[in-house]
Amino acid sequence: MSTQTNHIPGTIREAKAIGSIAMVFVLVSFSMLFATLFMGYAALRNSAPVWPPSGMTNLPLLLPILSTVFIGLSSLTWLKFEQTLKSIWVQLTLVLGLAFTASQFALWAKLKQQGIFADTGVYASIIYTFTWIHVAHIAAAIILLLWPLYWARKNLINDLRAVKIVSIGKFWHFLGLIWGVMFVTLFVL
Amino acid sequence: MAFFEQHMHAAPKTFLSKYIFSFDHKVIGKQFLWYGILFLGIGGIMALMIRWALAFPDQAFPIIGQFMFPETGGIIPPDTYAMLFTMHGTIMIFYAITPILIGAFGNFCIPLMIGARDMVFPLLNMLSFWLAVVSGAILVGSLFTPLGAAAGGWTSYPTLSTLIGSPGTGQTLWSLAIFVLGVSSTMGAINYITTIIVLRAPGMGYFDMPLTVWGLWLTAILNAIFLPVLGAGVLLLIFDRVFGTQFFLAGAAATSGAGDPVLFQHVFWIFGHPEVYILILPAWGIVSDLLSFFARKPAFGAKATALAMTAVTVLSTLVYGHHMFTTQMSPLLTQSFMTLTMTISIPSAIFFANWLGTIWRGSIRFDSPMLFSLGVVFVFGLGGLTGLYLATVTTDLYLHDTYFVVGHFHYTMAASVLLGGFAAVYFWMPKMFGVMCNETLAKWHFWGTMLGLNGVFMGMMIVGYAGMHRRIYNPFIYEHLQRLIPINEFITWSAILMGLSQIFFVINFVHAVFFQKKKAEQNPWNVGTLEWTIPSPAPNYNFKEIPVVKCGPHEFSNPNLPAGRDFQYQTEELVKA
Repeated sequence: MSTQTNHIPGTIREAKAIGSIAMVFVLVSFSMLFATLFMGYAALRNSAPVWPPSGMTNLPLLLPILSTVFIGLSSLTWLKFEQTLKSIWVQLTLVLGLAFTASQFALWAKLKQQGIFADTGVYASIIYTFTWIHVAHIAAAIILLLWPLYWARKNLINDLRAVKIVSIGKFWHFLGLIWGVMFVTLFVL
Repeated sequence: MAFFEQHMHAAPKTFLSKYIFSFDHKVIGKQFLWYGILFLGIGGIMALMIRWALAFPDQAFPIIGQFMFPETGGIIPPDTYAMLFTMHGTIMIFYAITPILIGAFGNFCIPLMIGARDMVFPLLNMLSFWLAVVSGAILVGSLFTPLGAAAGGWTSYPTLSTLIGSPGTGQTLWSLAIFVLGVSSTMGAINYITTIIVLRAPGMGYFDMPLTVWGLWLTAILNAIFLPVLGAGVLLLIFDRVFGTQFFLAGAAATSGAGDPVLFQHVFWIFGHPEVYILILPAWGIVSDLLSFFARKPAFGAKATALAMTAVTVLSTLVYGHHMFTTQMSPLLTQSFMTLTMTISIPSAIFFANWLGTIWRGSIRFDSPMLFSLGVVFVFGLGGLTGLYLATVTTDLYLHDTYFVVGHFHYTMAASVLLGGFAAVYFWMPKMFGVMCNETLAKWHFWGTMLGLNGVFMGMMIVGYAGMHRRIYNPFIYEHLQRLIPINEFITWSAILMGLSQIFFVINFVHAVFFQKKKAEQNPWNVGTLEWTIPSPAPNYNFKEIPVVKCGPHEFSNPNLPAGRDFQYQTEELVKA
C-alpha cells in the first residue's frame, strides 16, 4: 500500500482541496441516482388516476418518524464528532445509524404484516425499492464509519485523516438528507 | 490552479504489482486498451454475423457457423439474431469504445499531458479497471445462460426487457453488468475530473491544456452526472425482474397496474443522449489536436473549439426527447426538443469549421494518425449532417427505427470514434510502448477501414431511406424490401472488407508491441505537448521534474523559431521576434 500513500499530496490544505473537489462530484453522482428515482416516482404518481392506490391508505407512519429522528440525531452527533474528535460521538453516530437500519427492517416487517409486498403494486414497489437502495448506501456508510471510530479510539487522528473524516461526514449528511426527502414524499405527502 | 507537490512512484518489482494490480495510470491505460481491443474483436465478429444474416439469410455463416449453430446447419437462427444485435451494440458502446477512448487514452493521456506524475487517486483507478473486468465477465457469462444473452436491443426497452419479453437470466445479467460498469466508469470519471482540476502543471491554465484533455474532461463530467441515471434505471429493471416490483409493467402484466414502460425510455435517454457525446467528445479532442500537430499550424480558434465542445456538453443534457418522438409526446414537447437539438449544430459547426481552418493551407504530413484524423472529419461531417433529418420531427416520424438511424449513429459514434481511437493508438504508440507502428500497414489499415465503413454505413442510410426496419431478422419476406437484396449484399461485402482490414491492425499492433526491436525516439512526431518532453516509453514516474508550462500546446511554424525547427515545447517561453 506504500505506493498509494506516496501519492497523497504534500500538505493538508491541498488534501482538503482535493477531498472537497472530489466529494462534490461524488455527491453529484449519487444525487443523480436518487434524483432519477424521485423523477420516476413523480411521473408514476402524477399519471396515476388515484393516489394513493387502493389498499395503500394507512401506511405505518410511526416507524418512518423514528427513522427520521435516528438519522437526524446521527447527523448532529457526527457534527459534534467533527468538532471534538472524541470517540464517544462517532460511537453514538454508529449506534444511531444501526438504529436507523433496524427501524427500516421493522418498517419492512410491518408492511409485510399489512400484506404489502414489493409486487403488490407500483406504490409498494416504490417504497420498498427506495428504502432498499437507501439502506444499501447506509450500510456502506456504516462501514466507512469504522475507520474514524478506530482512529478516534487509538488516538490516530492527524490532519490528513481529519480531511477524510470531513469527507465521510459529507456522505453521511447527504444520506440523511435523502432520507428526509423520502420520508416527506413517500410517507407524509 | 494549484501546484501540488507530488511524490515519485517507487518502481514496482513483482509481476503482479507491475502488470496486474498496478496503480500506474499508464499500465491501467494499457490494460483498458487490451480489454477494449478484445471486446472490439468480439463485437466485430457479431457485426459480421448480423450482416451475413441480412445479405444471405439462408446460407450458413462461413467457417464457425457449423460449430455455433449445428441445429440449423450453420444458419443464424432468429432468436440468436436478436441476441447478436443486442450484444453487438452493448459490447461496442460500453465494452469497446468506452474502454479504448476513455479508459485507455483517458488514463494514459491525462496525467502525461497535464504534467502530473499520476492520477490523484491511483487506488480508485485500479479498482475502476477491475470492476470493468467483473462487468465484462458478467456480460460474457450471460451468453452461456440457458435462454441465451439479452435480446431486447442495446436500449433494452420494456416490455422487451421485462420478464414477459425476456424470461431468461441473460437480460438480468445484462442489467447487472451495465450497473457494475456504470459504477466503474463513475469512479474513473471522478478521478479524471479531480486530477485535471488539481494536478495541472504550474503555468497551465485551462486553455493551455491540449484539446484532448478538454474532450476527456468534458466526457468525465458527463459520465459523473449521467451514468448514475442509467444506473438507477437498470437497478429498477433488475428489481422488476428479480423481486417482482412493477415500475415498467403496465396493463395486464401488472396486478394493480400503474407502472409505465415508457418511463424506462425517459430514464434511458436522459442518460443515453449525453452518452453519445461521452463517446464522441474524446475523439473530438484528439482530432482537434492531431489536425494541428500534423498540419504544422496552431489549432485554429483553439479556445473557441474548447468552448464549443463545452456548449455541446451542456446542450447534450437537454435534448434527449428526440429519441422518443414516436411515443405520443405532446407536440409542444417534440417541437421544444427539436429546436434544442437543432441548436447543437451551432457549436458543432463552430469547431468543425475550426478543424477545416486548422488544416487550411497547412503543411500537412500524411502520417497514419493524420489520415485517421482526416477520416474522422469526413465521417463525422456526414454523420452530423444526417442527424438533422432525425432531429426534425416530420422526417423522424418516417425514419424512426429504420436503417437510416443505424447508418447515422454508426457514422457519428462508431465510425468517428473508431477512427479517432485508431488515430490515437498510432499517435501515442511510441509513448505507450516505446515503439512505432509500421506506416505502410497502418495506411492499408486506414484505406481498407475507410472504404469499408463508408460502404457499410452509406448503404445502411440508403436501405433505411427505402424503408428497411432496423431489427427484422429476414427483411426480404416483405415484398417491398425484396429489391434491396443487392444493396444489402454490397453492405455485407463492405463490412467484410472492413473486418478483414482490421487484420492489418492486429498484425501491426502485436508485432510492434511484442516483436519490434527498434526503439522509438523521444519525440517522433515533433510535437510540443508535455508527454513528448520525456523519454519513450514514459518512465514509471512520468516527469523527473514537474514541468513548468509557458505556452500553449499548438505552437507550430512560428516564424521567429530558429531555422530547422517548426515547433516549440510547452515548457519553452513563446518565441518572440
